Amino acid sequence: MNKRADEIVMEQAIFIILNLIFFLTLLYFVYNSSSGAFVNEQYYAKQIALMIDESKPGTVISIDVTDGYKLVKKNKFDEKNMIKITDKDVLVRLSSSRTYQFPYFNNVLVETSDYPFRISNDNGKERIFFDMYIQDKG
Amino acid sequence: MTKKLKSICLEYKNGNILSVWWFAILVIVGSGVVLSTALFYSSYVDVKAIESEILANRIYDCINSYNFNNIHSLDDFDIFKECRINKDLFAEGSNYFIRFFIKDKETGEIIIGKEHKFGNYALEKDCDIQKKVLANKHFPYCTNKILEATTKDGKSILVEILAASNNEGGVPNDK
Repeated sequence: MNKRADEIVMEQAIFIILNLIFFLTLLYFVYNSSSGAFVNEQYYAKQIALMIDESKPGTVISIDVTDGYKLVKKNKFDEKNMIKITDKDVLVRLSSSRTYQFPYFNNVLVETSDYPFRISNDNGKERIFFDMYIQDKG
Repeated sequence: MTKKLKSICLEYKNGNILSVWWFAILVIVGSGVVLSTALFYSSYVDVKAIESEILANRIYDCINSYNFNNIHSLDDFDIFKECRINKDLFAEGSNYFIRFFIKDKETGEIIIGKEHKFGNYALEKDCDIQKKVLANKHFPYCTNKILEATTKDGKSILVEILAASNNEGGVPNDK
């Protein structure tokens, strides 16, 4: 009966729904970016490479990778592939989409165990560390 | 004014409130949010300064612990072996550069011997430019160090060390 009122309500409803979709999409994008892997990959690769460069044979390096580890779990990625150290590069991967590489110039052998992560309880907070052993190449 | 606003908003004859103007505003706001977020979370962490300093310190320490018999003792100095530096990273297209030369401390003259330059020679010029212009993301960062030493035959020398890093890291070529 009140055709004009029906039209107005329909228009308003569509208007509100479209706005909601738009802002929810934006929120989703911001949330995904904020927990994104790129900056963390860069951060870990550079930090590890610089620590290797500064170290001497016989050094044991432990680095806190709790945030990266959580990202890997969130991205459903195998944590064993998270950090790889070759004879001249550090490769960090927190998702299946991309790897970040950073070289180190120290001519040493960097060894890690099969499962290089160590869980530590610090005042009730769980922290995860990545352990490396610096050895002489001989 | 109100009438004008109404006429802009109600574009269609049947009174449809969905207007091009509103979508334009949404696009502008959305683009702003997306761009700012993307810029913030894709920011680049520059460690060239730290890396060049570590490299310069490494060379300084290893030359400092070297036995100088005379002013030409460094002619046969194998920097990669003595300072435990990976030679592969100083090949063609390298992101690193090392230079050192010996000066007579009294006269200030460079003692001519073997040229001690390794890595990407182009970075040497970039180091000079970088001093004079504003810092640029794609320029190397260079560290200078001077080591004072006395040879076994009593000569006082200065070893000037320059280490440069233009290492930005990135995605590996095979991935």
